[in-house]
Amino acid sequence: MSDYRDLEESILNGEDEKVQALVKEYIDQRIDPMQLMTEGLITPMSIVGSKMKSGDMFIPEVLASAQAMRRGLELIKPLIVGEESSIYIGKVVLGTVEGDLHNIGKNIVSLMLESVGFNVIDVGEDINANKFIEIVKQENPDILGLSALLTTTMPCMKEVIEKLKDSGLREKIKVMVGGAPVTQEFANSIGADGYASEAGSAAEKAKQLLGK
Amino acid sequence: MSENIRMDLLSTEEVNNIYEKCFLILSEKGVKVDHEEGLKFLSAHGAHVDNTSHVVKFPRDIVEKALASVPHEATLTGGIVIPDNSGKLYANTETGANNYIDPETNIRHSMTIEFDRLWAQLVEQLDEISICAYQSPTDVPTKTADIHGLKTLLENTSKHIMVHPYSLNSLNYLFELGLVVAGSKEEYKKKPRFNFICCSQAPLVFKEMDYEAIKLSCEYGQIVLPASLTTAGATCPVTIAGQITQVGVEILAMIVFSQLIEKGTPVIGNPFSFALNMSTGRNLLGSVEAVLSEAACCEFIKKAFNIPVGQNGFGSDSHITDGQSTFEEAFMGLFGAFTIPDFLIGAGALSTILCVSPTKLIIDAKGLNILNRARAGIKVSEETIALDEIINIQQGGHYLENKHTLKHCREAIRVPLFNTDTYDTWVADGSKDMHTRATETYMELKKNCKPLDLDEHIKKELNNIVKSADKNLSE
Repeated sequence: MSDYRDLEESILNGEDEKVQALVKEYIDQRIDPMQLMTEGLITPMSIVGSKMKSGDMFIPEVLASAQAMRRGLELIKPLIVGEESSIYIGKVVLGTVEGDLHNIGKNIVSLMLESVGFNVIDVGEDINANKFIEIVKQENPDILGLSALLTTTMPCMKEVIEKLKDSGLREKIKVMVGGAPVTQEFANSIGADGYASEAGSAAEKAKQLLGK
Repeated sequence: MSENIRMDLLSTEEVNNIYEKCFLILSEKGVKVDHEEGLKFLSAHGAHVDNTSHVVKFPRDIVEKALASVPHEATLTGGIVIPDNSGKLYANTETGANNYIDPETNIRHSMTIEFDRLWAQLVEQLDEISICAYQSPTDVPTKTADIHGLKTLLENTSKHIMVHPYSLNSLNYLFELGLVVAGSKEEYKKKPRFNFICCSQAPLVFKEMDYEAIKLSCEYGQIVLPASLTTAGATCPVTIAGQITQVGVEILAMIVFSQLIEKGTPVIGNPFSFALNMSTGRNLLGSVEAVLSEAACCEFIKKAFNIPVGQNGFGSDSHITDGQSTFEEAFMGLFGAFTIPDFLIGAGALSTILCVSPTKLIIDAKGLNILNRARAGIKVSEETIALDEIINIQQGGHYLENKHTLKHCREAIRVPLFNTDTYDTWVADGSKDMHTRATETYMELKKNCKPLDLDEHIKKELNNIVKSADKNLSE
C-alpha cells in the first residue's frame, strides 16, 4: 500500500502536471479512488493548511497546491461511485453583499475553501438579501459566506440573516461573515456563526463550523 | 523643495519605459467602463468601444490630447496652489475609517457622526492640516452615511474637503451640499471646495459610480482625484514596477475621461498603493514595499502626466499609537519629504485605513513641520558658510554672542510635542510620553471646538438635502 509521499510532495510544490501524471499511475494500479482522493489529495492539503497557518506557506503557494490537487481530483471524480457530496467536505455558497462590488477578498476565500476540500458556489458581487435566500434554497449549502469591504454595506449581512430566519432556513445553515471592516464583535451582533479576520483563516473556520 | 535633497526612485529612462507601456495597455488591452452613457460619449470622442464587453480602448492621440489639456496645478480652498512654489508639503486627513480611538479613554469605538463633528472641529484648529475628509459614521442611515459625513464637515470646517462617495445614488446630493455652501454654481466652479475621489476597481475596471463621479466633478467644476487603490499580487502585479504600470494606466484613463468631458478640469493623482500580507491576505500600508511603491507611483504620475499628486504619508498598519506606528510614519514621511508629492494623506490613521485617532492626528500635524523643514534642504552660500565667523572666532571660544548666530538662531524649528528637555526637567514635568502630551493638546483643542458660523439659510438648506437623501435613499 502506498503512502502517497510522491503525491504529497508534488502537491506541496504546486506541480499540477506531475500530480496528474502520478494520479494516472495510481489509477492504472487500480487503487481505490476514494482512498486515493482522501489519502493522496486531501491529506496533503491538510498539511498545506497547517503550513499556511504557521506562516511557512504563502497564499499564492497554497493556491498553486490547491490547483495541483484539483487537477488530480478531475481524474478521480468520474471514478467515484455515488453522490458527488462524498467528494467534498461540505458545500459553501459565497458572495459579496448588495452595494459592494469588491471581490478580491471573497475570491481568495473561495480558493482557500476549495483548497481544503469544500465545494464552493461563488455567486459573485452585489447580491441582495432576497437573491441570497433564493440561492440558498436552490443550492442547499452547509455554509453561507457573506463578504463586504465597505462599512456601508455591512448591514446587508444582518438583513440576510434576518431573511434566513424568516424563511425558516436559519437553523439549517451556518453563516460566516468577513471583509476588511468586519469584526468579531459585528459578527456576534448580527448573529453570524463564524467570522475570520483574514482570508487565510476562513477555510479553517469553515471546517471548524462543520466539525471537520 | 530643494533640488539637491530630492530623491528620485525612477530614472528618466524608467519613467519613459513605463509611460510607453501605459499607452500600449490603454490602446491594445483597454479598460472596462460600466457606464452606458459614458460608453456612448467615449465612442463619440474617438475611443474604440466594445458595447458587449464594455471594454474601451484609447488611441494614442486621444490620450496625448488629454495630457496636453490637463492642468499642471490645482487650487484648493484658502488659495492653496499645488504644487507649492517653495515645495511646501500639505496634509490631508485619513478618509473612510469606521472606528476611532477616544483619546480620553484609549478605547476603540465604532465611528459616529458626533466624532466626525469633533474631527472637523479639531482640523479647523490645526494649521498644518489643509484638507479634511469625513470618516464613515455607523449611527446614521447606511445608504446616506457619506451625505451625513460631508454635511457635518461643511458645518464644522472651512478647509478644503476630500469627498469619498459611497454609492452612485449619493453623488448628486454630495455635489449639491457643496453648492449650497458655495452660494452659486459660478462661485463653486471658481473656487473648488472638493477633491472628489474617483476610484478604479483594479484591475482595469471603472464602476458606474466612479465614471459618474468624474462626470459630475467636471460639471460642477470640482477637482477630480483619481485613485487606483491596488494591492500588489492581488489586484495588480506583485512587483513594484508592475504596480506602478497598472496604477499609471488606471489614473491615465481617468485623466482621459475628465479631459474629454471638460477640458481643463483639474486632476490630482492618488495611487493608494498597498502591499499584501501573503500569509493572511491583509492589505498593508506601512510595509517597506508599500511605502516604496506608493512613492514611486506618485513620482511616475507626476513626472509622466505632470499633474499634482497626493501620497500616503501618515498611516500605519499598527492598531494603536505605538513604536510601530511611529516608525512606519517616520519612514513614510521621509519618503514624502524627499520625493515629489504635493500633499500627504492619512493624518490620524491607524489599522491601515480602518481607524483614526485624534491623538495621532495631532502628532501627524506637528510632525509635518519636521518634514517640511527637511524638504527645504540645506542652503549653501557665503552667508551660510560663515567663513568670516570662523576666521574671526578665537580658538576655544563660542558663537553664542555672535551676530551671525543671533540672525539665524530662529531658523531651526521647534516642534511642539517633541521633548527636548533634560531628563530632570522631563521628570519634574510628570515624565510624560508623546502620546500623553498629544492627548493633553487634544484636551485643550477640544475646549475650543465649535461649529462654523454659517448663515441660517445655509444650515437649513444643508439639513433639507440630507433629509431628502434619507427619505429617497433610505426609506
